[in-house]
Amino acid sequence: MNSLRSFIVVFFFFLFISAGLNASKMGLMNQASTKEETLISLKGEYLAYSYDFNQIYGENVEFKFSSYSVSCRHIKMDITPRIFYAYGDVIIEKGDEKLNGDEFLFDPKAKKGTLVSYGEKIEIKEVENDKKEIPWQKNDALNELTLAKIQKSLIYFACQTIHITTDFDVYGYNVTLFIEGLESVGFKKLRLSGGINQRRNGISLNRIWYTKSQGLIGRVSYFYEKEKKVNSLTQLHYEERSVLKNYSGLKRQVDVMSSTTINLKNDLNLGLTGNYNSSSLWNTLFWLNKNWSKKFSTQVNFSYNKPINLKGEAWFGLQSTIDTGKFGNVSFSGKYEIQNQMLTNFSYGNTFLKKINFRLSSSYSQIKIGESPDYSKIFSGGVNLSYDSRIFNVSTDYFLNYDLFGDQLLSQPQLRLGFNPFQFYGGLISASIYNIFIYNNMKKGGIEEDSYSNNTVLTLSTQPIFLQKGFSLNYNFSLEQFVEKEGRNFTTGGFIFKANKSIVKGISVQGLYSFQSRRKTKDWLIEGTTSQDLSAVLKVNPSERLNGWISFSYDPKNSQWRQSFADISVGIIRNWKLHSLVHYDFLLRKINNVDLYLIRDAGRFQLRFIWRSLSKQFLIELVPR
Amino acid sequence: MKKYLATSVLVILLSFFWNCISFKSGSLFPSENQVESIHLCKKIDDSDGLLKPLDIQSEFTFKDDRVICFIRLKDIATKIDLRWKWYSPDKKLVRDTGNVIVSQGDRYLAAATAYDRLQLNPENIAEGKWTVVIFMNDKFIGKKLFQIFPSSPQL
Repeated sequence: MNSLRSFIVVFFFFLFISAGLNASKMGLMNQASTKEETLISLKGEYLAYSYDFNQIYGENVEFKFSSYSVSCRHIKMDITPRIFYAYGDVIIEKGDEKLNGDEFLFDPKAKKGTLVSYGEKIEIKEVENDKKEIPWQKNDALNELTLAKIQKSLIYFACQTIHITTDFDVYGYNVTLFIEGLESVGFKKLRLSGGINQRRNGISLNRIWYTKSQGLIGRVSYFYEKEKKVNSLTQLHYEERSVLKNYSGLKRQVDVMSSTTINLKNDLNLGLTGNYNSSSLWNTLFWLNKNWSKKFSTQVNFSYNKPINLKGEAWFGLQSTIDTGKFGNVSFSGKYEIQNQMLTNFSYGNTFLKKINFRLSSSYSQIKIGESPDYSKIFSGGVNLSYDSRIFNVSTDYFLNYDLFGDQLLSQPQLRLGFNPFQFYGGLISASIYNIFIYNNMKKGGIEEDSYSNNTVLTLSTQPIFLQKGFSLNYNFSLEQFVEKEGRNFTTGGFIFKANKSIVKGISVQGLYSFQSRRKTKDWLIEGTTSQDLSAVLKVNPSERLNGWISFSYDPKNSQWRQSFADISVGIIRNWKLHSLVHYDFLLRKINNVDLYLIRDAGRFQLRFIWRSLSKQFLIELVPR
Repeated sequence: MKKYLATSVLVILLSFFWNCISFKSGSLFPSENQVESIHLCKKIDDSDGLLKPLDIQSEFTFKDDRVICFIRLKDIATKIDLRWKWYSPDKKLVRDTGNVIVSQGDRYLAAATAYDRLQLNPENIAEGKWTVVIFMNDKFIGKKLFQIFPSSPQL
């Protein structure tokens, strides 16, 4: 009873918070929209806007396009991909000029349009369109946009006046809100598109929330964008924990995150990022990027990082990449820190004769060891040469790691050889084999140690073999042999046998038997383990509304049932569906976990009510898609 | 804690009511005779009262006998007639059904279905991108584009 009451309180609180934020936003919007330029104003006998799909449908509509007045019987607009389409008795007028057509596809921002008439032939007229022609078939994408689809939205609005701003925000006047098809409250003016994907210049309050674990949470952000020039986002996150009972940690915490990029020229841009945390932790990065050509770029950067209770570090960096075409790609990066720390990296890569790849890399790091005056100095390098052919691939690597501080040198050559999967018996059986040999040499002080290992893997698999219509079998076999210098050898082998049987349309059963064995041998000692698994899956998919499977797992070695999983999804009404996941453990003889989902697919978002038995949690999620 | 929660809810509710809620004016209703869907298909299922399109697609070959343009309407309250016009890739009118009466308007129909077909004869049907448009009571209500290939489009 208590949980039910909690649910009702939480649910309505959630609804009111959302509505309240929209309302307070709207207060600001009233001022904002008047400042913002209107791109297009629609007046119609009936206009409907779907919040789920960000789409508009209208009847007997009039609007202004460039210097023309347009009237039409129907209008369809898909705001996200920017498709605007009027059709049915389209009349476009300017002074004495009057154009008639059956459909009008237009771009209100570029102020160009295409008017099409269907008479004895298809006639296409360009309206204010001396630029590139709008493909007149583009509106084909709107075939799915119907009033029926809009009316099936979780949230849609109906009104007679809609304004779309230059930022493609949609405002409605005297709108009626419909939730799941039921007529709800009315609004004088509302930003209908107030949404999850759009960001506007200025300050916005993103979140005010309370949780038992974090206390009172607030998030504010400031966004500024100047097209192709400046893009800046600053976010402030505040947590007030003093309101929590029995909380002993920090009473409050502030996080500020800021990121700005400025394009000075097409080939020159700079950026500044900064993060601050009220526990005295902060860092900042400034970078300047120059593209000398499409194949040559350089970046210089400066960063400062202040960890908690440690001295701050200031790094200067330079990195450059050069694509020299047939002579290969070269990249270099170097960083220097004012306490004499440094990091450098160099790499070169090229492909010869289309199939031979060569890669060379080396790096050097000199990093302080804690607060001591000593530095860890490590030089490492690697060379890789590989060849790929239709039948096989071979690769050789040499890796070197030299710890100058610890006077330790590791060198590791490797050789890999693999045959690409090849088929025989008319493609019925496929086989592949792979081998890797690794040699290690370690020198530390005057001591030298070496070791080696070799691993060979063979796999065989069959295509599904149909014994009768709707009944097939397939088989996988693998064998792995591992040997090493110390004489510890492992042999691992196993197979998987699969059978599929279709019972009736939409119902099938799959059986799987797997056997795996691993043997370890050293001198006279042989030890190992085997495991077996027998499982069956029943799949049910008789219609779009019902989809699910149930699986059982059995251990033949110990004659024991193990576990069962079930996943069932049932469409209820409109776009609501019930989804459940169940896990039953035969060893513990209990249902281990039940997840229940009630999901509403609503175009650009999904509303989910979730119950998790394991954590005894009830969640409401609004997930953007 | 309850005090904070109650205050927050009160503040939000007040801002909500003061800023945006208005008592709605008269309800708005869309017009009748709505287009529910238009499909191109190869076959029609006429086993039920209302027709259903089968093998919906937008690519056809001369191995297909015909292209069917199917329409489903809903909330029919007035007299309506439909007209299909088929245009070849060179944008010329190839077939015009003229007005076909679908409803006399003497009774309300929750839904109605209708279709027209274009026979695919290689001698007088050109390959390429075709257009079919539908008019209701002489007003344009929708169109579909489709492609005719000489053989299977995968080839």
